[in-house]
Formats: sequence, C-alpha cells, structure tokens
Amino acid sequence: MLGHKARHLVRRQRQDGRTAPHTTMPSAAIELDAVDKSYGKRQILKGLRLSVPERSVFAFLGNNGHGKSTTIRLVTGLAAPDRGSIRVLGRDITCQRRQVLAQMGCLIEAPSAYPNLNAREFLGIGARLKDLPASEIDRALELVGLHPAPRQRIEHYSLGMRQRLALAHALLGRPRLLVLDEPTNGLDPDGIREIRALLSGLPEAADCTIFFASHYLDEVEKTATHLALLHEGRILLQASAAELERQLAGVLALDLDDAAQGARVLEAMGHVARTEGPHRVLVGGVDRELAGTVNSQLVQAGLVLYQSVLRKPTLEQWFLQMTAAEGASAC
Amino acid sequence: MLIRLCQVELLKLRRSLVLLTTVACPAAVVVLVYGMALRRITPEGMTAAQWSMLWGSASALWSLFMLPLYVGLCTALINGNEHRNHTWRLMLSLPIGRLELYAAKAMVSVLLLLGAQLALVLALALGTGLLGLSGFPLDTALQAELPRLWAAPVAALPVVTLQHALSWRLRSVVTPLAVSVVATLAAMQVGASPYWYWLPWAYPVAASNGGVESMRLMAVLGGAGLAALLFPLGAWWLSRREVA
Repeated sequence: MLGHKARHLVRRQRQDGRTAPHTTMPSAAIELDAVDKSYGKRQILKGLRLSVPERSVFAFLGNNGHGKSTTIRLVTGLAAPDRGSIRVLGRDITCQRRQVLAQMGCLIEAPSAYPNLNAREFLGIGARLKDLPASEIDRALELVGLHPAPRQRIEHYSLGMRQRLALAHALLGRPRLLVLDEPTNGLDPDGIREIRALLSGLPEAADCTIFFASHYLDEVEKTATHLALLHEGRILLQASAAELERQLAGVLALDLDDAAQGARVLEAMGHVARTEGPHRVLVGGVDRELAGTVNSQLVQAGLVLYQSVLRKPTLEQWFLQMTAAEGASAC
Repeated sequence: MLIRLCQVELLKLRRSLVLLTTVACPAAVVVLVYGMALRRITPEGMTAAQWSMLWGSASALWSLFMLPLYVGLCTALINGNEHRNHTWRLMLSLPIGRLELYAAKAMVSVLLLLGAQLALVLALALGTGLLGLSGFPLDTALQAELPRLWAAPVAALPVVTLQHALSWRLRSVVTPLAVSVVATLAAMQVGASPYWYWLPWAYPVAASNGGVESMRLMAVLGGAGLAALLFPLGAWWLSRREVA
C-alpha cells in the first residue's frame, strides 16, 4: 500500500511524456533534456530529463552504479553527453563550459586536496584561478566554520576538516550553483551532522542552489527541498519535498469498538480496508485530508472511534518500494 | 590565464620533492665528477684543457644520464600530484581549459628543467671556486672553453613533451619512470652511434657534448622542432579523453 500514489504520479508523468512536474517550478539552475551517456557498450543514462529549480537544495537519489556520478560529471562539464542537451545556469555546458564553471562550485566524490599545502594555500588555488581577492578565502573558511592553524598542513587534517575545506573551496567566489557528489561520504556521525547542518543553511547564507547526489536517505530527508530518484539511468520521480509529502500515501490504523463493522462501512464508501483483530481496521492509501474524512464517516456511521493513527512511510521505505516496483515492472 | 595556472602549478609544488631534486640532481653530478677528478688532477697540471675536460665531463654526465632521468621524475611528480591526490576533477571543474592545464604543467616542467640547468651552472662555479681556494689555478680556468650548457635543455624538449604526456595519461608513476630509465640507458648505447637521432633521449648530450658542430646543431634544432610537433599531438590525443 505504501507509495501507491507516488507510483501513480510516476505513471502519470510518463503518460505526459515527461518525468518532472515543471509547472510549479521557478526557473531552473540545471536542465537536462533527453540525455544519453554510454561508457563502452554500457549505457549509463537513458534519455535523462531533469530540472533543478533555482535556490533549491536538490537531492539526487539513487543506488550506486545507476548514473548519479555520471550525471554530475556531465553537469560539471567533465564529460560530454552522447545525445541531448544540458543547460546549467541558463547556458549550454558543452559550449560555454568556462562561463558556467565560473559561477559554480563543485565537490566531486572524495574531498581531494594537496596534502603538502595548508588551507590558505589550497584555497589560494581556486581563488587565483577564479580571479578572487584574498578576502574571499577568509569568507569561505568562515562560512564552513573552519579555523585552521596557519601552518597546519592538510595532511594533518581529519576527514571532517578535509570535507569542510573542500566545501570552502567549492564556495569560493559566491557560486550560484553548488554541485556536491556524496558530500557526507566516509564521515563519522558527528561529521555527517555538521555537514548536513551546513548544507541546510547554505542556500540562505550563500544565496545559491545546491544540487547534491546521495544515497543516504536520512540526509536527503533532513536537508532537501526537492528530490529526484534515479534508477537504471532514468528519473523515476522528481518532486518537491512538499509535493512528495503530499503524494506519499499512508496507512490509517483505526481502533474501533467493532472492527468488522468498521471495515464494511469503509469498503461501502470505496476505501480499501482490512481488519487486524476485533478492534483494529487498517485503511490504505490515506493522506491527512482523507484521514479526517474517514474518521468523521465512521463516527457518522455510529461506530465508537477510540484512536486514529496515520502511519506514513519513511523516505527509505518509499525509496525501496519505488526501486523494487520499477525493477519488477522492467522484468 | 596560462601564467596564473603556472603560478598555481608552482604553488602546488611547495614542500615537495620536485624542488629538492631540482637542486640535488645537478649538485650530485658536480660532486661526483669533481670528486672523481680530484684523484687524478693536481694544481700544478691544471691547464685550460684540463678545466674544459672537467666541465665537459660534468656536462656530459648531466646531459646523458641525469637530465633525462630528472625530466622523467619531474614530469611524473607534477602530474602524479593530481593522480595521487585525486585532484583532476577538482582542477578541471574550475573555469580553466584542459589544454591550458596541460600546457601549464608542461611549461612548469620546462621551467624546472631550466632551474636545474641553472643549478648545474652554479654548482660548477661553486666547485671551481672551491678548487681555486684549494690552490688550483683559476687563471687557466678563465682561458678554458665552456661547454654548451644552454643547448641541453632545448634539445631535451621532446623528452619533456613525451614524458609529460605519459605522466598526464597514466595514473601510476611507475610506467613513466620506467620509460625514462630504459630510454636513458638506451641513449647511453645509441648516443655514440650514427643513429642517435632516432632517440630523443640522446639529443641533450648530442647538443651539449656532440663531437661535431653539425651534430650539435641538429640536436638543438631537431629537439625544438620535434617538441613543436609532439606537443600539439599530445594535447590533441589527451583532450579527447574524458576525466575518469
């Protein structure tokens, strides 16, 4: 029962010939249209369509090996698509790569740095190549809350500090778009919490769009305003967090004086219901609004309602169900 | 942008082995040659020809053996910096062109080679000065013929280009270094044969210590010309490859 409406949304989007509900979205920071990409004989991306609204924290979800990193490489101009178009910040990344990258900050996979340098020297690389003043280095360090000892080399940094430093590098020059690939990969729980808090605050603090790939659903649930689910090179679903919240149907658990009678009443009204013991009825495909209607219908039918609990699926449950359902339909 | 990229490439080398080897390699050659010479030379017999031979020996050992190895090591370390630290994506997601980065790394390699050549000249001057302080006559040194030290780096340009392309392309530093060692050893064999011009690793010694003027000229012009041909070819080949 979980995810029934979300799957319905996917079907409807496919029937419309698109995978993303564009109508409610403002102008896009990233737009991919019918993008194909293969490595050798293996096709990684299959007609990928994606639209990332400006000033959103956009989570790009998917299992390992389904094309997240390839998409990030395409968006950052590190690879070229075989087919389709990619527009980033209103420009074609394949033709105007340099102009686009000047307004972007990237953290791609591992937080890479030169261990023989200190933080300021390392950030000096990005600052010099983006033609930024030295004060920009201080601003970026401040933004990520990193206050390293001036002479401390990066080789002595913890993984969390390196990750912050890599983020500071990405934030140099007030980028309009931050592209982050697995930004909390390899971090301990404290590090994950710190980076997550940082990401949540960045769109306001730095006035930018964040596009991040992740397979940590917990992270996505806590930071993202929008998300897309990538599965086997295709977008299964793209929605805002609010839309998804609305679309994710729950299970309504009702404690009644007579469960059998309650189930009959609900089925007569067109709901899918089943009993669980003499006093409990479970109703599937219910959101908040419908839960209120069901409750009042039961009371009007003369039943005594002791308790009504709407259980919504977690993002993890939803994700697993969506990818499993897609796998089954492909078979 | 190219100048900025060169500055950045030099910044990345701070506290690294590259700068140390730039001084240590030529210094080692001078110490070795002067140390061996001290067994057979005396202040009394130190003529202008003896000084020329001493400097020529240092120049030959440098150009034939140490310079090609230094180029292999230097290009491997400059490019290995990105391979080892997984920083290719970091660099190439900045607003710079791939060809510019390729050119900047090649330019820094040439710059370091010139630095090493300058270090050789300074080490030779220092060694000569120390011999003078030990009683060797410096007036005969002033009459001695200087080796063509400027020619070796120019003739080494194709080696720089080839080693740079290999080191850029290959993640492991072992292969470029192995190529450098094998080609240097081969140059030691081929360098004295009439077919020396088939192996660019033999060009530096031919340019600085070649027996005849035509050989020296051919090594310099051939080196510069071959590098001018190989560099765009390497850049074209590598620009077609995507970042892994």
